[in-house]
Amino acid sequence: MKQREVLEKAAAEIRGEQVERSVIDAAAARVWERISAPREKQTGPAPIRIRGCADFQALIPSYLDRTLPEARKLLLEDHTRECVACRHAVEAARSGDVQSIGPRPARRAPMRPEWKWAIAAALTIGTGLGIFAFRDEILPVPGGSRAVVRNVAGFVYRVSDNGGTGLPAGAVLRDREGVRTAKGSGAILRLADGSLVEMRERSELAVSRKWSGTTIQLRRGSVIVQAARQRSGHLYVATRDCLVSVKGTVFSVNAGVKGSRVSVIEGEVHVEQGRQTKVLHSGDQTATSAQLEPVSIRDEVSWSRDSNRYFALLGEFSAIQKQLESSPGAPLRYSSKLLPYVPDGAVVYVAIPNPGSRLAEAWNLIQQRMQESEALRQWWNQHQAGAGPEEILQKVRAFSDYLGDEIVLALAPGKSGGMDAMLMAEVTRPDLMTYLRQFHQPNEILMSAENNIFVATTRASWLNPAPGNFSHGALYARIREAYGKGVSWLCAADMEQILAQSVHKEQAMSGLGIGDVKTLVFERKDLAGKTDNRAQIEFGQVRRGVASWLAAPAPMGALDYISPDAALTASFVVKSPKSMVEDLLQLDPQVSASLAEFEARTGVNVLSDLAGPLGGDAAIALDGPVLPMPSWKVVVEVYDPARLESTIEKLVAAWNQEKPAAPIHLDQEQSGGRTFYHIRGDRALFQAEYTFSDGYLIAAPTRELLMRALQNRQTGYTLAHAPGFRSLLPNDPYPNCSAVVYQNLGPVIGPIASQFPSLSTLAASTAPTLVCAYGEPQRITVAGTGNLPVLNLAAMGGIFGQLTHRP
Amino acid sequence: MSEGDENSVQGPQMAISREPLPAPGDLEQIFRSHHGLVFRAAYRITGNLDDAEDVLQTVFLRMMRRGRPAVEVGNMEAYLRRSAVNAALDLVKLRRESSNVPLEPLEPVLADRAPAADRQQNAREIRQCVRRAVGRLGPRAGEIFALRYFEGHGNSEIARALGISQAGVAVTLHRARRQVEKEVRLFLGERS
Repeated sequence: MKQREVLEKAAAEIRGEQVERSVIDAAAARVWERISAPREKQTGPAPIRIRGCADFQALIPSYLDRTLPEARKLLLEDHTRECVACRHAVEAARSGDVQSIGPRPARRAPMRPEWKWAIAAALTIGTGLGIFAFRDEILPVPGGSRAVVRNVAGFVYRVSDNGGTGLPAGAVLRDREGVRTAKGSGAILRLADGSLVEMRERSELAVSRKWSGTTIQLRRGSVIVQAARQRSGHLYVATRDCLVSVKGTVFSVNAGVKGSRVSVIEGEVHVEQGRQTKVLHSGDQTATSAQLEPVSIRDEVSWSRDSNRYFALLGEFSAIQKQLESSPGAPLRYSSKLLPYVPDGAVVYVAIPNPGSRLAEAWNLIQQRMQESEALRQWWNQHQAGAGPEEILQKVRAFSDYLGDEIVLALAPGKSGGMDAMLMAEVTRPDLMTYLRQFHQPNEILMSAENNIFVATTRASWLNPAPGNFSHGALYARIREAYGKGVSWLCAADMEQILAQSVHKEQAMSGLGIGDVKTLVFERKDLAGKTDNRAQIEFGQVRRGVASWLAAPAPMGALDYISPDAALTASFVVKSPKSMVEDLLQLDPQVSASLAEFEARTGVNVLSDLAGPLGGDAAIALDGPVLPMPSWKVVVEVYDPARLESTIEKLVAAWNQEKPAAPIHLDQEQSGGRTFYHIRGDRALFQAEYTFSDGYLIAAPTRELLMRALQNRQTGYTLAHAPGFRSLLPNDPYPNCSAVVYQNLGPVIGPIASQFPSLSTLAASTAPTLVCAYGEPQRITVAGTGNLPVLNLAAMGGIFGQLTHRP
Repeated sequence: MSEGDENSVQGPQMAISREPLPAPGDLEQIFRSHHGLVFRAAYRITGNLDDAEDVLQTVFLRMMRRGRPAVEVGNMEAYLRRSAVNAALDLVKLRRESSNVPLEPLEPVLADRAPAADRQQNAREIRQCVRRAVGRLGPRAGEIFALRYFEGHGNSEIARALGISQAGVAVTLHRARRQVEKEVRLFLGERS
């Protein structure tokens, strides 16, 4: 990294450093107490005559303890500017003071008793979690050696303050002990977990171990790591500018003055640089600096004594991957031979492509390559213990061979409650039933293969399907519409029928607008290498109630205050907030009564004073450091800032009147021609700053975040203009959206997931995702690209399970 | 920078006259409204909570002794920010001979999103190196550098505050940045 970049980064970090408000207030209280105290109280020890340096130096202890009278303090400070000896004496005394840990005694005001109990309770509850989360910092490091030198070629030495001492094969390395290879030399280290690290000439590293895992600190040079399976913790390789997390792989790291370059031969690694995390697979390479150009992985590892094996493996994985990528996936289907046979009364329809062909292709490819490649055979035998995966693959593939391109599942309400299911597929081989008889069949599932249609169902009358009345319904029409545009994965539900059997009260459903939902359709398809996920809710009439809150697609000015580094953002345009409140009032008479009572207590008319000044454009984001306090931002369109501010003041006054023991403080400050408002609860448990700018109210926990939001808008450094964000926008004719939900939590979750294994699945999908919603008069469409957990079939199944369950 | 320099660095257009000693209420109002700004500006330069508190005290003691500056309310913030920067630079210069990297166990700050502890310490040491380097700059260069890089002010704003030309700010900034980059390079080279 260039020095300028290092400096810019450090300066940005310094600018962004935050100090808790309570710390600042405490310091201010102490300072004010000192400077405002009457002068007679500031006298310290009996005055002495100052004749020379010795007398000045005698004042140093009092000066550092802040008990020296002001006049003497100024004299001492003036003297130390000119006298080097006294200046050094102050510095020496201060150095000892700086290294003390813990608060200065008798400096703070006595703590209130209730605070002590609150802190004790918080500490008790948090101790267990804290010890686990920060075990690396709290607990002593695990004992034992960190690595053993397995092979030495040339000269390898241990790095220490006394210079270097030669290391023979078999030498043991302790925690953080450096090892360096000389010119023309190499070494192989074996770590305590069995991983092998091959060092190139002129390379230097140290191995450290904490409870969270082992870290290879690559100070310079190049290494190739064959990572063993980690029994506990992780294996990392850290250079000056990136962190590589390993998941049982073979990879190379090359660290130099220009930056670091990571190349993967086999498996998967996560490379963390700053706030970005990249996931690399076999054949992938990344560098931390644009000045560090890519090289072929073959060249990158050509220095290794095992280079031939790496070449062979790399070639195999690369070839398999390329062939799979180049082969077309299941083509889109524009019609379905099975759709007419869906039984009457079906309320859910699911259609997926037959997975067998894809599995067969991948399996054949691997088998073929293994016959030709010894390296690949060895790798397979090493990693695939037992015949489990192979056997399952074979069974699924074999069964799929008997079926056509599409598999359909239909659900309909059962006569005795619950749902009856029907699975259908075209039959491509006549001996399907003979094949199935060799497996055990549950009694409740009936099967048939008549008229070239295979059926597995829980209802006997469906065994011989025939075209029926399903084709006359709204769900059929909607499914046909979807096929017309081409489908890959499709799931459609007749919400009108499902909700008609729901136990919810009609009034509530009507008020929410959900009672008007006719159909719900999920689709997923791959278009030109991009996965498009889409869900559509269709209404029987123009949306009303809560369902009408989402406005038509429109420009989102609130997004201009969100930076491209935001971890989580939700932005939306809604209809008039006043109308939304009116919808809520109609939902439940109790809401009206509560509102009236609220208005009487506070003097605030919710409709005209609170909802009236608001526009319909808003955004909420997590934009900035997450620890120690989440950097949230709220941006709301405001048409009448003065009225809204007056309303806020009334609400604060009403609160303070009702709860004088826990007042809310609202202050304002003029700065740079702008008014900033600071609101905080008593004892600084809650605080926020907000201001009005260009028709928006912007709120954040600190002034710095607020200023950053304003700068984002001024400079155009916004999420909406970020290339990464724009590349995720779905392909459709809409120039705007009604709502946007964006996440880039990978840089946040990744480091935390190593501490909390339950987050590892979430952390595994570290790529950013974006979901857009579009509100039309009788339809709401939600679309997104990439692997979206919320739009996958498992989620759909869960949703339908909830809706179709009848007690 | 001695106390008198605070006036001497300003051009004739920006000469600040002094009013009589401020009434306690007036000074308290200023203190209550701006102590956060002064503390944070001091902390950015010193990197140390105790030193930032010292600077806060110094800034307002000086105001107490020498009188409330006759600046507009909107400019009080800029005035106090400069005072804090100058007082903090004084303190850093006082400590620049020390080779200790002060422990900051009470530092309630995490600059990055929870990186590994090693890299966090590395980043912290680089920031301290930058602070020491700024402390070694001349008084004017240090002030300009801090206002630009730590306070985020633009060149024109700095030029107005100091009563000098924008070109002067740019040249001084360029030289200061090169000097700081050089020190950072030496620091990183020693550690590799």
